Amino acid sequence: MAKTILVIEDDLEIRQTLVDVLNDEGYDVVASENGQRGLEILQTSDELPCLIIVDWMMPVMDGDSFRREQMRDQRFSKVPTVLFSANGRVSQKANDAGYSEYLKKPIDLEQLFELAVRYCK
Amino acid sequence: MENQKDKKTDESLLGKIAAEEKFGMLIDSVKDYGIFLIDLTGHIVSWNTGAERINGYTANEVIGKHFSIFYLPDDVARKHPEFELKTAAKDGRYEEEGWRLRKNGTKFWANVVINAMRDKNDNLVGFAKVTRDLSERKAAEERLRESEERTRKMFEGVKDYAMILLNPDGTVASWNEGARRIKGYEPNEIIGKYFSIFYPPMDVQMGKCEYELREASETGRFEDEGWRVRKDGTKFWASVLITAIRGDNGKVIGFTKVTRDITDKKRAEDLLKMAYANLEKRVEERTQQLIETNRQLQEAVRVRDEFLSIASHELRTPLTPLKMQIQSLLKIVQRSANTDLNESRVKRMAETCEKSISRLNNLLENLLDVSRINLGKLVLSYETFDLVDLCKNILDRYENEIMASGSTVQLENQKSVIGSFDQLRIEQVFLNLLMNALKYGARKPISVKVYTEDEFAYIVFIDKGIGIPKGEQTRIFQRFERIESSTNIGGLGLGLFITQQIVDAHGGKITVESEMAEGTTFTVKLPLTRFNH
Repeated sequence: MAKTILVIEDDLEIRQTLVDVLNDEGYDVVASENGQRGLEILQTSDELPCLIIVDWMMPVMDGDSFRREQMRDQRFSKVPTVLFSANGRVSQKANDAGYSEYLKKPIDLEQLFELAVRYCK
Repeated sequence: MENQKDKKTDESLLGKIAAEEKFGMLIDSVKDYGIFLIDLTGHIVSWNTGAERINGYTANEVIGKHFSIFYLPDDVARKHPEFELKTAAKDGRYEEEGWRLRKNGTKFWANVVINAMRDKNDNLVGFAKVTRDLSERKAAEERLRESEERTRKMFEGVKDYAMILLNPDGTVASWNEGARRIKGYEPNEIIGKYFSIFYPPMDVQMGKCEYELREASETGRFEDEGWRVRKDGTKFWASVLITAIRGDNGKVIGFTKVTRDITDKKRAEDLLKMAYANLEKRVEERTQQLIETNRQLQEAVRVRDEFLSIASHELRTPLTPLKMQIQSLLKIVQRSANTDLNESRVKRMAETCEKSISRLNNLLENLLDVSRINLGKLVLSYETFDLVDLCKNILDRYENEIMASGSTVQLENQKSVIGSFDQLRIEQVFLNLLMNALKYGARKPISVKVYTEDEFAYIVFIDKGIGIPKGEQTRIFQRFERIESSTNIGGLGLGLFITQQIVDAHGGKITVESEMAEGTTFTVKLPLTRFNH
């Protein structure tokens, strides 16, 4: 059974590409364009995703606020979550906001797949 | 003492007196006074020890001689000895001080008293002459006089210092040349006047003069620098020293007041002080300028660093899908399992890559534009076209972006607006304003107006978005500036800067009106015909 990955990313091209390449690898992907939408998806889904990939800089709700809200809700606070950012200090930001993993844009697909394999296979 | 019997004189009273033993012994014992008798013709009848000591002659040598031997030749020539006797005969007594000669020819200063001697019938019988040698006293007096003269001359001659003697009550007792030169008064004008005449009225009112004399009396001296007044009313800066003079009993008997005109020195000092203060002020100003420059440089560095961080972020964003798509393509090709490659997937790959490359290109173009503007190389190539057509064209081309933003964009009018502009640059203006409205428009409807009025074309973008704080409405047109509340919205902060530069180059103007949470209106006003700088 295919596992679902949640992608939260405001940039249309990046969002679409993540969906495509993860689909190619056989994962189901649910995508949203900001943290607020991402939380709504988590709250309304029957099944939790195996992995959440979150952009940092987004309108409405950014990666920092999303992570705080996520950690507050026990239903999905344990879901592995990756910070996905072009910011030069992404490791620092991931650490400060309590992310378990991070990926620095632009990424190698292999890094992304490795994480997907680790948490979703 | 032996009795002297003058052979030339008859038995006479004078002889009897001279022969009187007791009297003779008394006279003879007197050592400090020369006492001798002279007869009516001026010849010496008797001689005592004092006379011998003072004049140098012994009794034997001198008795019988005329008393004019004691006189200077000039005095003898003018018959002064005879005059003395005549005066004594007439008045009974003659006294004078004058030069006399000793036996050895040296002079001495003598006090001479000649008394006429008369018998009981009042007949003149001769003269008694008493001589005192006052040479020492005379010399001492002379020395004192000379010393005083020297002091006086020195005192009077000093030209650069006003040296004044004040009486105990502060009135002027003496006045020298320096005082005349410095203060302008002649001695006869000032002697006897109270010394407050030299002080400015304010000082006089405050009792400064009395205070100075009191200080000098109590402590011996008073020293001061300050303004003083000349006879003609002009002021000079004076250095003043007042010293109390005390008599033997310790009582103040006057004051010396030495005044120097140091106006030039004071002026030089003041100038120096002013120059110094001025210098300090300039150093302070310069320091402030440097601090300000330094602050500006630091701010410029901060803005640049921030820009670089944003720029790298922005450049990485289109690179991200590009790299992922290409890697995905490679992976699929390597698998050689063409089943994975359906037509729509390939189309999206190509489109995404193309779009990402365009975005990268736009970013680079913007960076290049900024460097062109910085170098003053923004050159326009004018052509005549319809702004409304251009606007429609752009709205068509960016339909997808408009859709993705969640906003709608409505062009309010269709009537042509034809003018002469640089088409590519005006396209940038439209695009930048459109992208701003989409980014900050909060998914609400956006309206665009393009129209002419009084030889000008107007392009107006109205959104109902987040708005721009009043304090930031000018800043947004500067390089690398973005509104504070936009940290989660992408962008280099170059769009409005470039837009404004393009509008400026056309001789136009861009303005903004905005209310927080209500929306923003950008208005571009462009001359319809070519603008010549």
